[in-house]
Amino acid sequence: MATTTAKIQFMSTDLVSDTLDLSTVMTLYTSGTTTGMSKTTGLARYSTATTSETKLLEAGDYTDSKAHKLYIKNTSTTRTDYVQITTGTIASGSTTIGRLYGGEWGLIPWHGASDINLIQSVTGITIEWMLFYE
Amino acid sequence: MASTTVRIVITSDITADVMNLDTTATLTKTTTTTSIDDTTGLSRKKITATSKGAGSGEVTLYTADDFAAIPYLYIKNTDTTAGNRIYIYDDTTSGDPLQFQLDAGDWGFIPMHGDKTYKAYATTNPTTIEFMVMGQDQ
Repeated sequence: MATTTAKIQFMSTDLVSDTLDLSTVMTLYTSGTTTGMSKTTGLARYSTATTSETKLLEAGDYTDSKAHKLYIKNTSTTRTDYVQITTGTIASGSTTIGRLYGGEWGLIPWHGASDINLIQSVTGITIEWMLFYE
Repeated sequence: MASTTVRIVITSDITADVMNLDTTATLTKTTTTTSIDDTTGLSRKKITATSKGAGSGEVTLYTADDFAAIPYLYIKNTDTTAGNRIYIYDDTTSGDPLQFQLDAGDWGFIPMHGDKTYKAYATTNPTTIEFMVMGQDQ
């Protein structure tokens, strides 16, 4: 059985009056089990020549209501370059989940029922992403 | 001077060669290098609602426009029993679409857009969620 863990660590010296150091680790299991997640897309790099909304993950390619995890990072070193993450079908209207500005990453627990799409603020931004799925 | 960071380390033997990804982002006010100022602190609440829209028993994780864009949301399902899930939905958009699903022990980190209210319900009453919003209060 494959073992995949993801650790997050927040550190701050000035967000609150005392130093903040918070970390937690999760093991990626398939939904409702203690069986390790066994599939991944691998770490991919993605860039488009458009600022229009483009599909990153097709919901139909993955089973719904599962414990998929999407790691995604905006590799731009320009703080104002952003990638907007949306969910839903582009043609019929999607909704925004969030934005990653240059250098930021996210780990999104994706249920697999709706597409994941991206809108780049400028062309040429490189995204790194990886999906762990079942 | 920015001094709040968030780091992720992913380790996996799914592939033939062990994968080890380690990256850190600095959390700043949007498009600047100025450190974020505000946080809700780490909250811990029991979810007792087992259906969407139940009202009582749901936990509101974030209220639309409470923070300036971009607020960062950390969420964790602290339950240890496999199958005890937390569902988080968008209470602002028509139809209240499901946004995230957290199985027992799962966490997520989402740089939000900030304009939507997120609420949580669970499969089991009670299920404890830990969550924190960081950014720029407004």
